[in-house]
Amino acid sequence: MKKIIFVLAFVLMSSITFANSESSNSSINEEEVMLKNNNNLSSNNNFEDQICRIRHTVYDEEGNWLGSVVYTIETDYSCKEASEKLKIKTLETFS
Amino acid sequence: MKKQISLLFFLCSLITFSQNNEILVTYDVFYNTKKPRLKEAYLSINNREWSKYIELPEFKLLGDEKENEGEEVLNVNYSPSGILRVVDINKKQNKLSSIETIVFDKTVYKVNEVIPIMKWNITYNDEKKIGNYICNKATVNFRGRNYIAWYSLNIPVLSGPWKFTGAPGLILEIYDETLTYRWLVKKIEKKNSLFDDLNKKVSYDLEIDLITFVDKKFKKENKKDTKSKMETKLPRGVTIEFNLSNVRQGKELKFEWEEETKEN
Repeated sequence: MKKIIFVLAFVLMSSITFANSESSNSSINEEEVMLKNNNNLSSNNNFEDQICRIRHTVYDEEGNWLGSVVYTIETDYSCKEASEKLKIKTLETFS
Repeated sequence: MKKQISLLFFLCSLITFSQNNEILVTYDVFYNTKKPRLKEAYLSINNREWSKYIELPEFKLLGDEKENEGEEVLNVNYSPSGILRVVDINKKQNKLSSIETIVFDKTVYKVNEVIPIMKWNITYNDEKKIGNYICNKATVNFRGRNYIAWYSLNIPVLSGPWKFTGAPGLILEIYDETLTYRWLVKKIEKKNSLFDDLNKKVSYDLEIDLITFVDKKFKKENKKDTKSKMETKLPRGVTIEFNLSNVRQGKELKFEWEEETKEN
């Protein structure tokens, strides 16, 4: 019984620690403009030539909302993967 | 007796700060914008010749982020990251330069202008205490925003955070009437190596004048150019739709020459 309680307590503590570290990571960002990926993406399982729409909400370094940029992508990948690739490309281009 | 002690303290402050000592002021900078955040900034002052303000790029998000469920936040930059925001005021040369960036532009600019004339209203009787300093109220309109400042005559330097200059004493707190921007003093000390170390990290790519910079930043045609440039860099099959706001955002909403144009 003691072992079970110990294991349960350990799991609980670990999840709290993980949750805290997640929240602190997201609250202190690197800097500058942030993009919000509105995962308002078509998500069928057949990825052949599907069209994904990815919305980036644009903020300046002060946190002012500047508008949005919508990318329409024809892709064989899933929309989530396409979104990630776009993120990498955007990083290469702008920072 | 208390009055005599206060007077002595006041005189000591005057002597201390008028003897060409450089002081370092640390501010908390509150951005109560769409994504509220807190930054830290340093102001180094040599009253007779110059002052230099450096704002750190790191920030702490304040309050709850209003994200919709199912949305993922991506920390991707659309402009250079890790840039120290600097405002350098050289009184001898009547020159102010600031380090600026523009969204969708990789260039870091050093923007030059003459020191703006700020017409401070200091006719208020209001007083408040910030730390150990009794502060007086002053107001000013600067580039489209009305600011309320609290300055201390105990520190007779005509400086403040960011571009604020010309109030009768050091500005310990200043905020605009919409409470979007607020600077609050955190610490006042003798200048130390921390500031020098930061100053060494200041860099830029291109030096331009303010009018050219404002034109680059706000002109509609430039947004179209940005869109075209972005399209050339993205893979085939990707199209972009820009829905950018035409309303100016930021501390500076309207510039002197734009006001002149309107009046004429």
